[in-house]
Amino acid sequence: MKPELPDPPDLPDPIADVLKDTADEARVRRLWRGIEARRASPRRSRAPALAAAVALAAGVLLWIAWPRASAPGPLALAGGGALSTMDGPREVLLDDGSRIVLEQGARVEPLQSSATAVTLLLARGRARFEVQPGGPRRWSIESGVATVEVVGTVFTVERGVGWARVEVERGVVVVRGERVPDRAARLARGDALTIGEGEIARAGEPAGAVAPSRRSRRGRSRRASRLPAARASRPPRRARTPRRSWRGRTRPAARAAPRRPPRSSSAPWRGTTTRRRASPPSPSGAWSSTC
Amino acid sequence: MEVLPPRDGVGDAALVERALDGDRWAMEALYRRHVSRVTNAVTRIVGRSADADDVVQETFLVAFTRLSELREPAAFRGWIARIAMNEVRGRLRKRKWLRRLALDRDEGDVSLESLAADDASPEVRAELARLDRLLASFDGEVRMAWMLRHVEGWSLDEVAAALGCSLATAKRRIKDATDRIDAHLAGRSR
Repeated sequence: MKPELPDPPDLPDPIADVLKDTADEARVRRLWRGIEARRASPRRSRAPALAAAVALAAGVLLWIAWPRASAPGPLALAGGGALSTMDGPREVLLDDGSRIVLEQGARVEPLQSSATAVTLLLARGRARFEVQPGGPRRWSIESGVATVEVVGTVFTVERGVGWARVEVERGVVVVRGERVPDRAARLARGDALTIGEGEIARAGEPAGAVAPSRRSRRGRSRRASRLPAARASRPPRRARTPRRSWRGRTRPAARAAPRRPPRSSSAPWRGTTTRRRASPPSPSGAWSSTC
Repeated sequence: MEVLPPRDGVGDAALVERALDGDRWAMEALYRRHVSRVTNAVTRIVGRSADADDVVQETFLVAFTRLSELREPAAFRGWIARIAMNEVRGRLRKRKWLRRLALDRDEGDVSLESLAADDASPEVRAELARLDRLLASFDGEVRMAWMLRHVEGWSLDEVAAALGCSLATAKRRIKDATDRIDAHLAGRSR
């Protein structure tokens, strides 16, 4: 049989009767010296610094936790769904209010789509882009020989084999490419630019308004002869009267222009002259105006 | 250091009046008269000597800074206890937050067991250690009330005044703690 353990001892009340005094003389003196020192040099209030720190922390937390509902994601179709390869004829409405109209035979492929940028490749054919002005994304249209950069405007891009054409109906675009004069051109409302194999045409300007490089001038006629395929894919041309080149020769208009834009009465860019450049006229048969 | 007059010679009220006139001796007299009671209570409740030192210093610093706010100079004893318990409460709250953020992992260096008198028996020490563990699991307000009453031996009125609660609340907190301690001891003895 196990021996019964005694009950634990009852502690006195108050228990302090069995405890040591914690306020010995040394501690009392030390504490008093501390009190006097702090009274002599009162500690500056930490409240303002603390409040600033709390406000800063709250701001950071708010910034982190704030719902980003208004932040746009990748560009999507107006009815929902991700952007994918589009074949014409088709009209595509996008969730930012922009619109793309693809004509028969056109194909547009999305290369990049984010909250701040969208890049589309016009693989072939002709497409009209109505980009919502003031939108959050920077738009770029790749057309093989040139890149069209735009913020908010209406323009058309047409792509053939070895050439492309940009027509601006509203707003401003910047066209970049190796074959663009100075590698970049700014097109405003009514402007059109054709970038071909050694050929550049700007609507609304007389032939020779845009100066190609010397090298391109030299090889222009040669390269122009390599354009039949491009011409074949273009809209039919209107018969034109012979024109005189800057060399004083008469040349057929069909040879002068690498392509001619479609002549629809609704095209506001047609026949307008917006700018002139004080540059040498272009050689015959190399490039021409569409006005 | 100047010799302080006997306790009954000058009352708290007179010392407070003199301290209000900038009498440094009166301030030290007030400090020495009450520091032992305050320091013992604060040290045993807070459980860390360094924190307790801060609390005691802050308590008297606040008291001397706001001495003019004391409406009844004779009530300095209860007033300083109230300030001390407010400081303790703030310190425990701060420690709680730091522990939640894993910024405070220090264990206390002061416990009832470590403060046992030199002549305390091993059984008493064991009982104090058991009480330490039990009190550590109590809510701060409950622990403060129980310790002021049964460790420090303050009256119920003093406990209520120091904690800034009603007498009924103080009694209820003390009873809650006592019941839990009794239940624990009963369960242990079975």
